[in-house]
Amino acid sequence: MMRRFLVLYAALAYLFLYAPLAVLAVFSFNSSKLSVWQGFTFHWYAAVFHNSALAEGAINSFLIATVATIFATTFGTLAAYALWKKRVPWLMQSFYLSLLTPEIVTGVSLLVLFQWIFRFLHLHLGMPTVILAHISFSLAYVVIVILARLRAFDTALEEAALDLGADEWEVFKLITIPIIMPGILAAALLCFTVSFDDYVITSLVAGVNSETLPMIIYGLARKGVSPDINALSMLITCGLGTLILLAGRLEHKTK
Amino acid sequence: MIRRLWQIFLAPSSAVMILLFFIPLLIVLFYSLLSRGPYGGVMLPFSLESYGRVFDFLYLEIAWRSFWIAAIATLLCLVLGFPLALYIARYSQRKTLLLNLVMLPFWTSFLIRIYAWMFLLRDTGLINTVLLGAHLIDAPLPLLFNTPAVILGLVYGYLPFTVLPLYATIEKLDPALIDAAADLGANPLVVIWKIIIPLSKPGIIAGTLLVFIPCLGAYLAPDLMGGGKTVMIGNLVQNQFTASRDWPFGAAVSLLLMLAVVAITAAISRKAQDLI
Amino acid sequence: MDQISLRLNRGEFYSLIGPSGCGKTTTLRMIAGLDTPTGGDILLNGRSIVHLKPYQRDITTVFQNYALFPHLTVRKNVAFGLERRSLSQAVIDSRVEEALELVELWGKQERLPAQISGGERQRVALARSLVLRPKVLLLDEPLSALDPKLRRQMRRELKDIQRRVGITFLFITHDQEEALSMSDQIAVMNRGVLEQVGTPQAVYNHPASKFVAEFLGDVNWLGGVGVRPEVVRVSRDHPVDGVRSTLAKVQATSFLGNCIHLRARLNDGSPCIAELPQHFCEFQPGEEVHVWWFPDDEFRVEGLPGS
Repeated sequence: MMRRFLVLYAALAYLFLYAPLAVLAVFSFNSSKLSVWQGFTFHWYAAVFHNSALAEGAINSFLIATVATIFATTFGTLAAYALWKKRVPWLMQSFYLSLLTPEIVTGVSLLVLFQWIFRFLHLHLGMPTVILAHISFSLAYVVIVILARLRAFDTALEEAALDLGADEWEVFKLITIPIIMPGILAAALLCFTVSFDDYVITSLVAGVNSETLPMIIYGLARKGVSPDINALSMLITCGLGTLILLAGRLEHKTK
Repeated sequence: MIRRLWQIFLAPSSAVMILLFFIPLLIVLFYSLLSRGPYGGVMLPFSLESYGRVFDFLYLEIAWRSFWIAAIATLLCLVLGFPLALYIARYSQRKTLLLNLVMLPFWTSFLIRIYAWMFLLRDTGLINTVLLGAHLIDAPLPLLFNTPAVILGLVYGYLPFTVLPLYATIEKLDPALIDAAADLGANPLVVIWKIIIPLSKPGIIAGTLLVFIPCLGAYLAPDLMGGGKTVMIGNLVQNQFTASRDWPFGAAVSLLLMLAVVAITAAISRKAQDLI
Repeated sequence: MDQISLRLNRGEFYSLIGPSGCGKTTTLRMIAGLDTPTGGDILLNGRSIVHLKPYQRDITTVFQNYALFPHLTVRKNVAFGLERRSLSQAVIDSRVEEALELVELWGKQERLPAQISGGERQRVALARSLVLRPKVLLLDEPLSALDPKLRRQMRRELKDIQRRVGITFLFITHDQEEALSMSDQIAVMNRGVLEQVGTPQAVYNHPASKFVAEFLGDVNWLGGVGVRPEVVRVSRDHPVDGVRSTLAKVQATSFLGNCIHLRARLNDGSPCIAELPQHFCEFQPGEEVHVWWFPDDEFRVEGLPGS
């Protein structure tokens, strides 16, 4: 009895979670702009690919996410490793604080920082400021994820390497990193996804020429609903979804 | 030699956290104590005027609204998430798969998911079109651009964050305890109410923390689902740095939001520590 | 851990034995350089190494769970230590081959650790450490993860290898049979303190304390002396002169396969177990017998009531 209720409930819950996206998917093929099905078409998808503003936004998003991910993953892995060996309370707390901080506060604080610097350096908001912002907020993600992975690492492996003649740097490079690499890649993919999707922080620190895909979608959504956003949304969702599934697979390989 | 190695490893991240996290917050504090500049930005003299204005009724109302919206969203997430967590933990076979399916939507775009609801709920959206077409209603229902829509958006976005911790806690419960209760004649509802829920406190607390804090500082949900009519703290802050150009005030509100977040987290964590 | 002092001679098979938690692993880790002692010194050939890092000491370790690098093949695992030195590839290859042949694993060098059996992993760990020709090889309960039959086989092989390469082995175990059968010297440790050091015969036949006596085997404590079951004789007739003898009543006999354990109760109430060779099963429970042993076979230890 309880079981049947729960199964039904679970089904409804999953329906709730996936229905909106499923509806979007279906209607992205709708040949009409209305919410009435009028025929199947790839028209909107084609429109997405021919839209130069979207293309620019996509390139910007990819660029930002890639660069931010590379830096955040590298810095974060090194930091996580050092924190695994040596306690540095203030740094650890700062990562937790960073994760807690509401996005609006992060965005505002970075905006304020940049504007203050620009008093002296005569620069503008643009891609570099967005990239710096993204590195700043994704660092904590990487550190926490990799630290968790390291805590499950068999320290005997490092000790054996030391015992056999490798110094601390060689142990890190030849033993630890290769073994936790799937975890590092998973953290990187997560980082990429978080960065790609960011709106709040990006919108505050982006300049005039550095519109990202989320910013474009936000602008369109504010104006109203339209099928090309549907098509674009489906493309992004499938893309990010694939990345996440990949990340999950990699995480699984480590275990 | 090792000590230098670790210092090198920590250097870049420390620099990022100091330069791109702590110092910006300090500058926000600094700005909150200055006066509003003529074209936005800040200028001297120092003043506590911004903090004073926070206590205007208008802004207190926004704070209050944010708190209770976040609270309702959190409560709904807990209540709606609990049966799902219970199902996955105790009544299902492929737990990892089901959990991943819960988390998967979250990792795609939050913005897009909000947009999907807009597509469904707007006056010419799918739900209204279907209801109108079936002649169940005469005019479109105003399902969007109001507070319930905002709460819906928040719950939709953050539901996975209660399911996971609740699942983790329920999964660790000793099945013998629950079997014993059932054995002693308790019907399933009693078992849930009197045994599983009290023992799930750690999961409930974790879930509360993971949902309430982001909801408090939410921006996209109230902005898009609420159509700008439901102003929460996040919207207020954003506004000060764009349209209103009142940076000191925006800084002050940001800081107070940050303090609230830290205080609530500390309080909830202490409660969690007491349980352990 | 208390103060302890160990002295190993070159080429010796030296066992450090004791119950779990007695500090033997800690001692091994300090010698390897993985932990630092709070005081004292560690000398290798007269040179102090206590301030050296593990990779600076000419000592290698075989870990309890082998700690093979999962992402490297058997060959690369064994070659790892050599590659940290400036040796030519040809030299490395030939020494790896030599080491793998010594442990009889040649032919599996391209496999990954996950693809070989537990016993084979143990040999890889051994080869990996031996290939570096250390001054001392530390072994932390290397056989404890193996099943009993494989354990006994590996004991023979290990002893064999040690004799062949002539490297000093420091072998940690909590299994007294292992230590007794393999060692040139045994150090018995208890709660951070060394209770006795000596040859297997010395520590077994002349234990310095109650702990050592009981840890290395069974003991009958009779009237202030210790007598091991295997030296206790049982007979119906009065034994010859010059032996320690007393009357006892047989309680029960157990057949253990390769011997018989006869449990008796002496007239003063103390229990006694005698280990008899298999075909002496003529005694029945309830019989009055003489229990006797040669005085040379008994030992006295300090701190025993009645001693």
